[in-house]
Amino acid sequence: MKKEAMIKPSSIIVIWCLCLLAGCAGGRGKITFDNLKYPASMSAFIYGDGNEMLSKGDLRVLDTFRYEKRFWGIFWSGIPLSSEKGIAEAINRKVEDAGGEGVINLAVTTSTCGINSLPLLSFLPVLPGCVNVKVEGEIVKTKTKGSSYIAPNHSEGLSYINIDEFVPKGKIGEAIAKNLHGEN
Amino acid sequence: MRKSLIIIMLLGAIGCGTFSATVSTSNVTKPVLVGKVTKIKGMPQNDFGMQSANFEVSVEDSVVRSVAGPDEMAITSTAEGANKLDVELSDLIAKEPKGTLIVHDISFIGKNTDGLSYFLLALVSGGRANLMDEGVWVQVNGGVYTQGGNKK
Repeated sequence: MKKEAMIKPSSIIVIWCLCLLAGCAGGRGKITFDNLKYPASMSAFIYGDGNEMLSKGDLRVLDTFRYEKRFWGIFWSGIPLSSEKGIAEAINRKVEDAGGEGVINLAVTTSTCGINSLPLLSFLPVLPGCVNVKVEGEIVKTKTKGSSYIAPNHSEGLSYINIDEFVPKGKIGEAIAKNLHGEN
Repeated sequence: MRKSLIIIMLLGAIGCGTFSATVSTSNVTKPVLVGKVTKIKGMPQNDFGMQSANFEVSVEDSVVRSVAGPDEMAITSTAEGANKLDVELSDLIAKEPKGTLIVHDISFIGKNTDGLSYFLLALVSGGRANLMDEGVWVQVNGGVYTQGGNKK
């Protein structure tokens, strides 16, 4: 007589409880930007070297940057495996390469990874899960005095060029040449 | 046995959605600083002055699933969540107009529900379980600092 394998009810309850307590595959992390060498603001405003508040109109946007990193975790995102190392360093490099002085409109976007959705396997605590993090912003530099515009000057003709005088569109090359040769 | 396995795997595929949440403060009319450098050509510092207030705002893009309901029920859409940070910081600026807003850290979790867990929990709760959710959660922690106060 074949002995039928019997699963004890208590075992079923234990297994069910374990299943219920099991979480979901994923990742977690934290970013502090402590190693940034330049000021970075999440809004469109930043403080100048004299502590004055600068808006986007006072700044020149030199470049934008985007940095993406994947943060891993195990035990259903409970144990983080990745650090924030690399993010601030990457932003420092981009700002230096662009010749910038700071960052504005910094934004952080997180999104889920496909591996978190593996059927059944994501049930396992040792399966690593992840979260994608994207950091974006605009690299800026303060506008130097007079560098951003040329003010109108209603005097006739053009005897010399300085940054505050208006130069007609067709005369720009001529004006630059005159300025370079010191013809004032 | 094979059919059961296929059903379980199909159930496990429930929740394969993409969730995304963004934190930014594009509508705040003051610098919201991150890191330790507070101004252009400034040096990193560990002491920003006296902390007069703190803020902690969560932004999420997630969904709660219920067997009883026919569709997924979103808890918070990204657009609603993104506005929360702007609103909270704007309120703080109104209360502390001379303070400096500094973000201490940005924490985040991203995870997906396992269909098997969800299914079992739904069975136990008779289809009323709303405990299993999935998505991304981002939390911004920071403070408002005033220079000239008691330094640490």
